[in-house]
Amino acid sequence: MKYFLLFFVFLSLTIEAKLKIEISQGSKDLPKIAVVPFKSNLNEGESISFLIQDNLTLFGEFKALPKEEMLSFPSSEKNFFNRDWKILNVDYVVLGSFQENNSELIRIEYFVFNISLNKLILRGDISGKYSEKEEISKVISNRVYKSITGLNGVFNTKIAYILNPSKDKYKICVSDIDGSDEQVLFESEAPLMSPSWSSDLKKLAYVSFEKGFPEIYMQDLFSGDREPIKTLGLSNSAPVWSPDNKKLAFVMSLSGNPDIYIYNLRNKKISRHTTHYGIDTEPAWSPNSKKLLFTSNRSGSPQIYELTISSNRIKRVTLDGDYNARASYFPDGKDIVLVHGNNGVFHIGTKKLKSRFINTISKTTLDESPTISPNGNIIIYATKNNTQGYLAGLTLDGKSKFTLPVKLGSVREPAWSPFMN
Amino acid sequence: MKTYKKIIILSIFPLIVGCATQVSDLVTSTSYASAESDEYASVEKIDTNLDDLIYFEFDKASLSSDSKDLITKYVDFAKNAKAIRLEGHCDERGTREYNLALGEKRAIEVKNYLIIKGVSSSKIKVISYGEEKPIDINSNENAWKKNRRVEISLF
Amino acid sequence: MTNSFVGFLNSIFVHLFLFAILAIDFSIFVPQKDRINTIPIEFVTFPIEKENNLKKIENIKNESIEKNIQKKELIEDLKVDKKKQLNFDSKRKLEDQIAETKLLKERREVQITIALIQDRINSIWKKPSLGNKNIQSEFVINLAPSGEILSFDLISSSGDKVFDESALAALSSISFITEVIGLDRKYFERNFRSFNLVFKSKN
Repeated sequence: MKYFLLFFVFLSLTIEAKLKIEISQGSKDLPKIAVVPFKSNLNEGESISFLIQDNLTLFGEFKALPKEEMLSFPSSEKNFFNRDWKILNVDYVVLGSFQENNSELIRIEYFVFNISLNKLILRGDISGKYSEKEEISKVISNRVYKSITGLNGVFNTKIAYILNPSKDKYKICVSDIDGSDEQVLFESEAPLMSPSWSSDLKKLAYVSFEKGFPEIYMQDLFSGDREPIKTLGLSNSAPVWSPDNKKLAFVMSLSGNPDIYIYNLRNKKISRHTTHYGIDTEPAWSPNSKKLLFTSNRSGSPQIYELTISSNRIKRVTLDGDYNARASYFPDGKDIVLVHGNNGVFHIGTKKLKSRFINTISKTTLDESPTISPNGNIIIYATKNNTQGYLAGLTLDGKSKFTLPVKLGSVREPAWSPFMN
Repeated sequence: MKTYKKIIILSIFPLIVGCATQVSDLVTSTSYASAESDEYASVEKIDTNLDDLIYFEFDKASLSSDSKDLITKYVDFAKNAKAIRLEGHCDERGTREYNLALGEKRAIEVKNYLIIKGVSSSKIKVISYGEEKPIDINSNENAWKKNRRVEISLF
Repeated sequence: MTNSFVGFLNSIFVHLFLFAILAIDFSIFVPQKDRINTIPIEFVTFPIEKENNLKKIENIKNESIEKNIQKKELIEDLKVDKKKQLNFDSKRKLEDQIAETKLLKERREVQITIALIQDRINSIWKKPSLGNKNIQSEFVINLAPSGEILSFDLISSSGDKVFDESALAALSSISFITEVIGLDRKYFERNFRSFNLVFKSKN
């Protein structure tokens, strides 16, 4: 009996479960992409490929192969040879051609190849006006990005922000995500705060002190019309548009007690959702418009709470750290991004709603106002260098960091627009 | 008898709740600086020869005993003033909207202390600028200390 | 002194006296041996019977001596057996120890090889950024003892085509897993002839 058992044990030791090796980190190197100058009947093809290359490298997600290192310049699958790129360690190649039919219209054909797998992963064409070549390049960049990463591209989205060029001068601006085409929506000598996009991209809500106290204004982006939300002439701030575009969550202060309210855009009725005598502020909508995250110091220090709107039930979300504020949901609704402070140092952090752990992702130290890209992959936030505020960003996997172009004056409170359709 | 009472209470309850959500019907506005800043430019500001600044600890709205002594000195001046404006501010650390609320809490603390000392609440106007109007734009303890303040002005 | 007290003392004295008499006369506290000696018993027997008895006694004595010897021999035997058993046990223990050490050695070698393989594949895998998804693709790898990758197949998809293809691309770009070269042939056969590789989007 003894020997049988021993034999059995030995046997089981020798026939171990099959070896399973886990790979989870991946290379620290960025994927290498080559955007070949597009062939054209005039010499304009290069401009399109440069625009595409600039877009794809905007957030530091790819390393671009310089034109000088390219061994060939294919313009379609017919003159494309995988080995030309494999020896350069390129991972993806974008190429195409560009036809100008008359002085106005252009037609672009484009291809994307995966070099490691030696296969064509995207082909397409697009037509439009030459004068709109930037817009067209953004659309192509989005499609290329999607074929490579599986995620929707954000190259044609916009960002709203507050610019403070000098003391007593405040502007609310909107620009392309790469910082170009900046437009000033409103200028004032009194502070402006908290821009928020409507889900249909038609309006922007923000806080203005132009009357001497904080008030919420909704501005139509195309007509420029502005109207304040009529409340009780008290302090109103932190407006946030619901994803279903029907309501605005905001903060109103009655008798010195800031609380979360919801403004119904259809019937203009206001409902109150917190009553605690402490500070309740910074609401943020869940993707299904049913819950709100908010900041409250009801426990003694600022922490994040989640409110279910239908029941007004409140649940505490953050447990660690002495300062947690300005939280907002990721597009999947399961994770949040927030400002996480400890001992006077403030970083941007992410947290799963189901777990206690807060993952610090930014390395700068006076970080605030994080905003998430609509594809959930990139975060832009405001931070400071000496006396100047500027916008910085990073990809969620931490591999890429970037800063937005420097402006004349302090930039802050970025708000990433939803997807443009 | 008991169930009868229960039914009455239960039927009153939804009415009370219903009222609370229609905020705009019930509440009257409290004293805020609802006038434009121009209004104050035309009115004479009273010079008190006092510091006009109350300071606070990080993320706190509580008054130190020194602050309370300073505020007490305003009480006499307040008797002759038409309006007392309290402007709350914060240092740049933390988030902006939270700081807007914190600045307000600080101004309210000062207001409440004035009221305790006998100043009429209808004279006192409270406003917060959060971290939007710092005195010192540097990022160090010294600058932050100066920015965590309530400014008192009498008119 | 009360009457009852005197009476009490009296009764104690009488009891002790009686007890003393009993003790001395009936020798309660005298050890057994002495008692035996003081009570001699004699039997009247015929001389032959006496001799027989003596002989019997002799036999019994001899028997008991023999028995003693036998007993001693048995004890000796048992001792030897025990020694043998101990030797056998310790030998077995030693064998077990050797087997254990061998196993540990193999395990260590295998762990080192695994770590090297992980480093190599991590360095060539261009992991796609997926936002926040938690997924994995599992492949089975078949190797030749030379380290040559004979085949690799996707056995469990992550559900994300881009993720699967990124792992595929990494595996397509290498032909040899050189890390197994030099490994003890037995270890290779047991662990690396065919193994699974799991690509995970998160740790």
